[in-house]
Amino acid sequence: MSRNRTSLKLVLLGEGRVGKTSLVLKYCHSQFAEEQRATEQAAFNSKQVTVGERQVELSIWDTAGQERFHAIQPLYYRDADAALLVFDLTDSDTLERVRAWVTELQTLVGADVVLTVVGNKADLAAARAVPAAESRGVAAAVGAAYHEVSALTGAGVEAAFADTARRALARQQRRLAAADAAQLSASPGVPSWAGGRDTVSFTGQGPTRRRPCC
Amino acid sequence: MADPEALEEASKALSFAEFLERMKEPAAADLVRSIKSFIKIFEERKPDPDRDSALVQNFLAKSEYTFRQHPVWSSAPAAHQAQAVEGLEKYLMTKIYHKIFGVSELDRERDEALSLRMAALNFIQPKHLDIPELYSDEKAWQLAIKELHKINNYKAPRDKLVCILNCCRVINNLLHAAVAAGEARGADDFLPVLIFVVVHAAPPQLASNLEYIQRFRMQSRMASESAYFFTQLYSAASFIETINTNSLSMDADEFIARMVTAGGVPAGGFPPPLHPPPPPPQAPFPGVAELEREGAAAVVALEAAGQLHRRHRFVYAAAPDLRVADVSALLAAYKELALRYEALSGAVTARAGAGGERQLAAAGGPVTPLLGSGLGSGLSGMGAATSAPVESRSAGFGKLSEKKAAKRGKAAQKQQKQQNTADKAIGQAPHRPVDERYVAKQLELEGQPDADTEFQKRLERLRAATAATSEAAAAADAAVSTSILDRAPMSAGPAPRRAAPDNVESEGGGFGPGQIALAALPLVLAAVFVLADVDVGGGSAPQPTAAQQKRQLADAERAELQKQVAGFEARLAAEAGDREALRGGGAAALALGDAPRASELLTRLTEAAPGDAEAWQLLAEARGAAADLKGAAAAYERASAALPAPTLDVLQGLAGALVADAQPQRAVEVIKAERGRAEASPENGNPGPTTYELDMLLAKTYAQWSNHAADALKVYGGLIAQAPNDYRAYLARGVLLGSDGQKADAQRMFLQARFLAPPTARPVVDRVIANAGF
Repeated sequence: MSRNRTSLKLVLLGEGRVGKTSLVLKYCHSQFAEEQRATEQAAFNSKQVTVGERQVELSIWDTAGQERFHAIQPLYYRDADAALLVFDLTDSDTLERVRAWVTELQTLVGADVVLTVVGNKADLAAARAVPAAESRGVAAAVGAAYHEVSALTGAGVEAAFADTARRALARQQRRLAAADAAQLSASPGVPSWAGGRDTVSFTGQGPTRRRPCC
Repeated sequence: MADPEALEEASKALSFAEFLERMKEPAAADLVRSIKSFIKIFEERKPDPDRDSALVQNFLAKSEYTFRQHPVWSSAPAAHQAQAVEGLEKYLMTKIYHKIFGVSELDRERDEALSLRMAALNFIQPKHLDIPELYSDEKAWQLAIKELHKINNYKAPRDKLVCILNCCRVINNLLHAAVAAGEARGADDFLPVLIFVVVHAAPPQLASNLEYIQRFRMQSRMASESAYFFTQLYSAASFIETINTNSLSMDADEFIARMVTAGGVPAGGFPPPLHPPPPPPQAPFPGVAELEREGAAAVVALEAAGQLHRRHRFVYAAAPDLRVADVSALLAAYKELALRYEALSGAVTARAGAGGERQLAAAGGPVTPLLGSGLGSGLSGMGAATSAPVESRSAGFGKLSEKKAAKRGKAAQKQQKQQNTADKAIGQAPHRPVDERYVAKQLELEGQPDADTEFQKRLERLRAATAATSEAAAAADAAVSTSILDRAPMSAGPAPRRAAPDNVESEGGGFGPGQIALAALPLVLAAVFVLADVDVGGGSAPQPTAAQQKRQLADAERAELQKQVAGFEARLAAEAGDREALRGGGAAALALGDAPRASELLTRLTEAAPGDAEAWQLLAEARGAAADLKGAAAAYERASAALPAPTLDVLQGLAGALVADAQPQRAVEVIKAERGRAEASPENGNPGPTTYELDMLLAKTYAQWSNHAADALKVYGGLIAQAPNDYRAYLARGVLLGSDGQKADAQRMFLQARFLAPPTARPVVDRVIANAGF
């Protein structure tokens, strides 16, 4: 399935006040405003993007960032190809939360999940509380890319998503290639749906994992 | 599938009609045949959600391909081919719906728990979830509720999913208002509104519906938007399931008061749980446990009338009484009983809803429908209860305790009874020992030839329990829990075992008098679990166990045991290689706390019978009691090697001994190896413990290994994910988190444990929580 129609799942994490939703709306609706208005959604968005020569459908899964929903968040991680961890450059507490999410993601999705740490509200230079060096350090420590953006002006938004999509696609290609290799080496009768499920749609998770943990 | 979704939606009905039409064409006969034969599989088999899901998914995926190649469909446009598979899914799932929807025990329990909780949460207002005023649109909410309610009007997974999507769309439209106002907060707003809607919609069988969709909706179509909103609903349900004082924007006390007012929270003295308690005890139709309690009186009467042994000729039999020739009769009786038990308890459970099963499940882990193990988990606690508290200490997991209890009961050598004579009189003697010389000797030694003291004792307890009121039962429970809690957990701690010939008993293990039902059952077991699993204190040195056990033996019991020891010693004096005497003497000495003597006798036994796993296990326990940890571990390993797969109690013993011997790493390796084996075993063909049981043991072992609390937490987390209704893992997690200073998280776990624990286990749970400093 995924050969012709490539789709990527991107999970969006960030506390309520960091502006993650505005970020997505900016990204998804700035270009094809007319066309998109009808399907515009606050929580779920998808966008067709071109990565290299490929058409990719990017599904962006917004998650509720409130503390009270922390326990159920892992339900959204399942099969994620990438995660965008958004924090507020004017609020250093929101960066702290990012670290916790990364640990959780890597445990549940796999260490090779594509991560992007995004510092939002770059336009509020005067109120800035997190030095670039610090957030860059946090991102580097967890193997994530780092982008600073402004959902208000749109600065850096496209680049953050495009970069994430590019790396997530590369990861998916790697995995598909590995799956192909595995299938080729398996006996011809075996590769059934079950095999595909383990290798393709359950990427990064143990084969027995059915219900995400709480 | 994003854009054609709308189109597909519009032509859905047409497409299904068209699908049926096309399938009526003669050329489609082979397709129809294959579909029908596939459906037949489900008519004949017992449901198994995971297996069924894999079967259906596999079939649909294959059919998708087959349809594309098939003359009937190959000429159709691609869109129609896609619809054809949708048609197939709908047709197929509608046909087998009654066999697979809502049949899972676990799902049904969750349905019930969710229903209760949603009903209790009816007081929730938007402000409790911080839902902005902006969305206060009563009409839209009612519409969303209505859409969600439709989920039970449909059978096809896709149709159910559409109901969810429609409900979510209504909410999305609400959120547009915020987008327009430039205050979009996306999922931050969506999820609380959805939760609010779900609570007030309170759709019946929500968990079953969610699991059904997840299992049977074609995997390839469960993507993008559908997957997202499905996950939103799943999350909302999970939130409601695990709701606690921190979940809502309201005062904790008020929350508790509200939940209590909403009903379901008993007026009992324990700290009020945040949620209505699990339903089983209040189930309108009594569960298995209640009926067992009622039936106990009948058993007592039957016994008094001398009828019990006529119906069940082995109830008075002691292990040495049995001869090889008895095995077939015993096995036949066992099988008949197992079937009858399963039939009756199944019927009771079906009527009681999930109620009865939940108790069983709580007592013995997941209820297995298999003949043998089903009996095991069902009866498991009985032995433990009738002979509590001494036995229950050593019991670990459900299946085990029944065996242990039986073993313990039989460790005491019982010889001839009054009934024996009676039996002979009515011609039922054949199962009695033939060796009259041996019998005579025993009679002489015992001095009170008529008394089957052990059995009598159990009956006494049974009588007492029958007479007791529920309050008394609760008090007894508390007493039991207390004594259990005061002692060291499972560990290398020895449990004196039966002195018995091998195979006979392992087959009919739970079959002694101990099987008689007793009210206190699930709780005693529960107490044991808690104990076995929650101890995180590390060093569970086995010595105190033996000492305490010695103290706890009643004088009469001790006298009895001493008599037995004397009897066996006499036999050994006559014939040093008498294996049964070695075994019986070893077990009795161990029960008396004479570990060195027990070790000696049992060492001789293992030398004489090196392939006897039971003997090795006994020896391991004796060595453990003598603080010979390395020796104990070695003996457990021999026991394990002598079995096709180590039993859970052997593994527990081994792990406990290794941990006590400061080799936790080795213990973990052993359990992991066993887990790998269990995982690789074919379905239903796993001779050893289940992966769930092994994980429970693994987690406990990690917990006892310093600096490995994180590993323990992880494993417990996995267990919770696997069986979200098993309070033990929550409790253990809570203790670990608490000792790590994560008070809030610990509290959360404790709330879950308290909520999920059957009422009978609550005193123990509360105690553990209190001991953890909460």
